[in-house]
Amino acid sequence: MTTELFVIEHGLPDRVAEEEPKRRIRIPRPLLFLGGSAIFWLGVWWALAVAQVVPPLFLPTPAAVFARFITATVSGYADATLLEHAGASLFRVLSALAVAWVVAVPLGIGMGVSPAIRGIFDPVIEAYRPVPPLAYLPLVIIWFGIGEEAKILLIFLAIVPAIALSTASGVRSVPLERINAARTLGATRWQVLAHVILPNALPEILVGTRIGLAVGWSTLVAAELVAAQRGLGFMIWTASNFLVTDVVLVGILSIAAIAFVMEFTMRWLERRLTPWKDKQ
Amino acid sequence: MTIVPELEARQLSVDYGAGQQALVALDTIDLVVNPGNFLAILGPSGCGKTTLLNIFAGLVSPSRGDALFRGRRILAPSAERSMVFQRHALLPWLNVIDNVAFPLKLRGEDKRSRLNAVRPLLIQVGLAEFADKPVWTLSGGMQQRVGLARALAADPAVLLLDEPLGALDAITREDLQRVLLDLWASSAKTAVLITHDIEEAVFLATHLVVLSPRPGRAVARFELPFSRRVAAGEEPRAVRAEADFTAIKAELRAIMDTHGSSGRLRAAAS
Repeated sequence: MTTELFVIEHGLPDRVAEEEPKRRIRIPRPLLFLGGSAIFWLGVWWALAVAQVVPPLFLPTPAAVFARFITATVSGYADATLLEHAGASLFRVLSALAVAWVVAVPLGIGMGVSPAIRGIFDPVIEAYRPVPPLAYLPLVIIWFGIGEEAKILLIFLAIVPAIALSTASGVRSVPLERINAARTLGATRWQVLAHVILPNALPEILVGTRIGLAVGWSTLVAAELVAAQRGLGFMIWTASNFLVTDVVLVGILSIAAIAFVMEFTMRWLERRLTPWKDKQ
Repeated sequence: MTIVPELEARQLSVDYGAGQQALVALDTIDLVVNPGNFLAILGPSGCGKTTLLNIFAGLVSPSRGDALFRGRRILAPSAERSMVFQRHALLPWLNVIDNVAFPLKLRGEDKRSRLNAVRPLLIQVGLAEFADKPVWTLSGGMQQRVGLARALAADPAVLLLDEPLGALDAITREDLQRVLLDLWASSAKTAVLITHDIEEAVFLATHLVVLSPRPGRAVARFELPFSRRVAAGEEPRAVRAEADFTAIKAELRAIMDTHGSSGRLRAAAS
């Protein structure tokens, strides 16, 4: 019965809904699911921790983690506040992203336009892309040391394939008619590139950037494994060495929260900048 | 005094592939399009008519023979010969007026002067009130109006029309045939249209060539009066209903049947 009523309520046009005087304020369904899921998993976590199925040393309660979140924010952990750790990590991911953009977008355009450039770079990128950054971290350390540059380099290497390959595919997806029409309207090859191919590839460049950001965050912990003084990854490693599980959880949740916010910012940007995408 | 033809094809052939697999797409085509004429190239799909148009545009080179624009060999695309496509040719990230003004942007004109220059064109194709709309929000028919206006904004000598109305429904299509005819007549430009729609070809063209399917050969040529008469003010619907008009349509239908793919299938079966 209830299911049927529910279906009818959502299936009829708005006009009918307006005639209903006691209309509830509706929370968007995705938000409802998100909230529901958060509450459910927090509940599971809390139940497991309180029942002590796992010793508190390994699984502190949500309340204990929240308390640790406050102290880490206010007085810090491992010689820096949570904000300072997050700032250091953000700086690394974002500078790696910036450098990756400067390198990968032109590279992707080159790969999309020229079979020769594609022939040279595509095998290299495709070969190292699936290798986990942890596997080539030793090589980065041997070659570039343990400074800030090496950390950024590791994240950079992880981001480049995502952006370069998306850009190349965006460039190759330009309809031939669009290019030919521009040429018969007087466009030179450079004008075709600037006014047709590049804007056309923008949606996929943005998708590549979003994927690159996610990859960057997942590489962060590996990058901060060696000789870091700050950063969320460093904080997690330090805490795990002393079995301070609540700090480990604070670190993980902080990374998740920042990555989540960035993911949604990127999606919002995509909708704002390229509303024509998929509308052809 | 002799007229220099706007476009000319001399013994023009195109092969695809090489050696044993070589496929003749166009076979020794001879064509002349004089200034101000409207040539329709009629043929079924796969007769090489798009290839022929691409050669006139300078996008494809012939395998043998020559394609000439005002007596000179066509070597590369140019704004003298603007092309309108069936779809996907507009720039979806720009609004209507910026799309139409795109050829002027390519010439380096500043924003204000190019927008002023194209406003009359927008009015002519009935898009004045849509000037600021993103093109992807427009219907297919509206988008083709944008495409026609944009090609004219380049101020070409020749309009090359690659089935620009091919993806539209019948009613929109008739509306746009009228728009196209008015644009051609008022601009006094030369036009080459490729189409597989007999009615459209007869209505719009001053000259008509029928191509046979692979290999594409010119199998019939007509001179037609209807578009000039409509341009001079006659009622399009009355013209379309005339006995002459329907007779030519029937004749073309018969020609296309004998040379068309169905005709070939019959020949192969017997």
